Amino acid sequence: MSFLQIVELTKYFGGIAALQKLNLEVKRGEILGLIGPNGAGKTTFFNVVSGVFHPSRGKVLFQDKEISGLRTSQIAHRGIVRTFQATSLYTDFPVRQNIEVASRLNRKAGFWSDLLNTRFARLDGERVAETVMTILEYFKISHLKDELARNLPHGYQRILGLAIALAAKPQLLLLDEPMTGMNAEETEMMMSLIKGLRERGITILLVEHNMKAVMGICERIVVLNFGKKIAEGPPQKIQESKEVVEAYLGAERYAH
Amino acid sequence: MDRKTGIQKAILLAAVLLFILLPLTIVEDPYFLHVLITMGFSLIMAVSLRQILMIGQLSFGHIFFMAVGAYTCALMLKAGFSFWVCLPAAGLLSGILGLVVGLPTLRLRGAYFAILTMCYGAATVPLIGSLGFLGRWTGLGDIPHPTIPFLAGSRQIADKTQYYFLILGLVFVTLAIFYRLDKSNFGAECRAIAQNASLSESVGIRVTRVQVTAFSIACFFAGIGGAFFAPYMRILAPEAFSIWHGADFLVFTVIGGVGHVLGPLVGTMVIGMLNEFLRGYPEIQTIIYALALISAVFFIPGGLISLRFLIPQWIKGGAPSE
Amino acid sequence: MDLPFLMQCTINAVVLASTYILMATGLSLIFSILKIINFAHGEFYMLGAFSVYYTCKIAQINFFASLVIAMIILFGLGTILERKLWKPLRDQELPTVILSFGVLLLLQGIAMLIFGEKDKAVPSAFEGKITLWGASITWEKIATILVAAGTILFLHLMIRRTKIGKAMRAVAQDREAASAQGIRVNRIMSLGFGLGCSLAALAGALMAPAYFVNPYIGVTALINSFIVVVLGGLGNILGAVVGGLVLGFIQSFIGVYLGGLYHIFALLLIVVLLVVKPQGLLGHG
Repeated sequence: MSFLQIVELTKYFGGIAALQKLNLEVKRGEILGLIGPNGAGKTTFFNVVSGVFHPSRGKVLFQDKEISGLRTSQIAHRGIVRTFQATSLYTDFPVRQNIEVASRLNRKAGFWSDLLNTRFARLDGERVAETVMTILEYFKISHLKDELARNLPHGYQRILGLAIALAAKPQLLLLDEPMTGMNAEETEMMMSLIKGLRERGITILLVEHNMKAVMGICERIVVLNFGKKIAEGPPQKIQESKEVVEAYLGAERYAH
Repeated sequence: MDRKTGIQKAILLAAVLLFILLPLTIVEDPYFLHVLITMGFSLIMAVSLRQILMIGQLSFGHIFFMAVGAYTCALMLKAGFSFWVCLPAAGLLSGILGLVVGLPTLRLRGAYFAILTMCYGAATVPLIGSLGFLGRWTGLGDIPHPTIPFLAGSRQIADKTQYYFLILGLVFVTLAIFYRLDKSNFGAECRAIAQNASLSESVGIRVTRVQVTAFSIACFFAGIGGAFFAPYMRILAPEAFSIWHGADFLVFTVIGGVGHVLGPLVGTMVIGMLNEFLRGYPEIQTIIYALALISAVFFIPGGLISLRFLIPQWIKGGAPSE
Repeated sequence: MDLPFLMQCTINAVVLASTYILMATGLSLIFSILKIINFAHGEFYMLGAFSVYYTCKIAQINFFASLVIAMIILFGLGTILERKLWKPLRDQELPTVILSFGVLLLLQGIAMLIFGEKDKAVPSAFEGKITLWGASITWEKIATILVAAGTILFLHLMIRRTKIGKAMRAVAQDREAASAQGIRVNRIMSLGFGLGCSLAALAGALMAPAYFVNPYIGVTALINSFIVVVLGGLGNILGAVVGGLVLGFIQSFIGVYLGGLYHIFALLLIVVLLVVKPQGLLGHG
């Protein structure tokens, strides 16, 4: 059974093709990096896979079942969770509540049990609360549990974003530029956290501009440009690829 | 923590006792009771409106669902049904209508949704006025009083004191239900959606389902408020459901504060008492509402109820700790 | 249905459409530049009508001059309110909506206080009518249509050709990029807001002689302009024109037959449109 399979994926906005006949496979248990110059289609790709957009053509298959066109929450129920480039937090909630509310997929109590506060709901709540503390401890932020998310320093906010995603019990994590704005030390920490998640059996698809990080943790890398895949392979091969260098240089030229 | 909840419970008990004993002892003036009763059903409207604000949306049309409840109850009472059947039926009809309206519209972004609610809110009065079976502009009259079935014949709820206890009971139940909603995971998810809907979807919260459920519940209680309103007023005229009356509820909720179930209570009582001083001066009333709303938005965005966090500092008599 | 009747309805439709187009354009302008829906928009319509009442009827000033005065006064008021009230809340959606509702109440309350609740009548500035295809059309209606059309045309040219117009479009498209180009974004936003308000004022001023003037006419005007932007899309003049014409024709032709049910019809129309095509029939620009 394939894990995540992208088949001839195409997405048009107006007349512009943000993604063109993309074919891609993500294997279970790997950390796959997705890179490319700005505007290459990486965020659009995430948006389509996570259900924010419908594909114009082509399909997305997760564990051999088609998920293209499903709503984001339905896709999350299937096991794909996505983080966002910008705030991926509940700014007005304390840290602990951020994880608690993101534990929807971990809860067994239904609407009525929850509302009537039945014994079943209470026990379920206690179990979830324990899991929440475990997650906080794993990310070493349990000392911040009562801090409002918006008051956290930037690095911790990004870690919280990752913790929130983990609370949703993902099988596949789509990380959208998790290391933006991080210094070298924070990046190192994030890299080991991501590797740690893979050890726990979570497959990771990573979009990131920080090349050192990408090359450091991804076993395989896919390079997009203008919505098409232009290279694929282990970091070594990508670094040496002429097409990739040209793509980035080309983008550089346009930027000036 | 235990001491805090102990004090809270004591205050709650004292307040409940106060409200129960009030009409029996101190107050016998029917007008004053009328004011309290009006605050009562306004409170039900305000606290249900709060639930819509909790999911991050704003409704100017909540009065429409109150009208649905009111006219449903009125027609059913006149047809001979017991009030105790009409009450939940009215709520249910409003709730179902809320479901029908909410399902396609809640996914609209904030301002567009608000526009829509303002449109059906403003359409309420002309709509009633054009429907024959609702009495058009002359109104629907002779609505019978509710009766309490007793073993030895039935007693009517006819005078102000009896209506007062009825609304007190309804208010109590309504507040209890919304309080429970707040503390539940459902309530937390509502607040989560209001803050960050796309993140919520991402972690598996069924945003549309939660929003529609919250909206339907809010409309259900608007229907309940309307259902009480009908026999109490004895006559229903379309003007009672104008968008300006609807605006009242919004003012109560925003001024009182959305952060806690009792926020709308504070708002209803404060503005309600203010209204008594301003009786006969609708222009001043409007201006005061306006100034209160604008001040709240600028200075106390959490409403009056959010000031409760400052109370411990006031008691200690010292400067705020931050 | 004979020709004169048809003609009559058509003229009425266009007259109604003129005010709707002005209101909706004002709303769209404010929306594109400031990204907000001004719920107090209707109150500027009402104040425009009152302005004409006082200048035209009481002070006996020429009607056209009254129109200009109304526009200038409400432009000023709009600009001041934007700078003092809306600016501090920029980018906070819910508080901004609540604020605009508060301003709605404030302006209406002040109008109730100062002007009184009773209906006031503004006399026609024009005597006489002409007969076209059997229908009698007052000069007043013609003037209304011409002034509205002229103003929209002027606005369109201003946005396309002048420096200020280009600045407005830049801010509407990308605030930060515009700022980086040296455009004084805050100023443009205040200007846009004031301009939008003055368009609403013009609409109210033009319609003042046709109907009674009281503090409550703002809300109906607001709801109508909402319908228009739902029909035609928010953010472009063409959408406002199309939407305004559609609503004008619906009201003029069908409103006669529907009577009170018109509101239900309008409501259903909005609901269907908002759900099926939230960007309006033409999408937004």
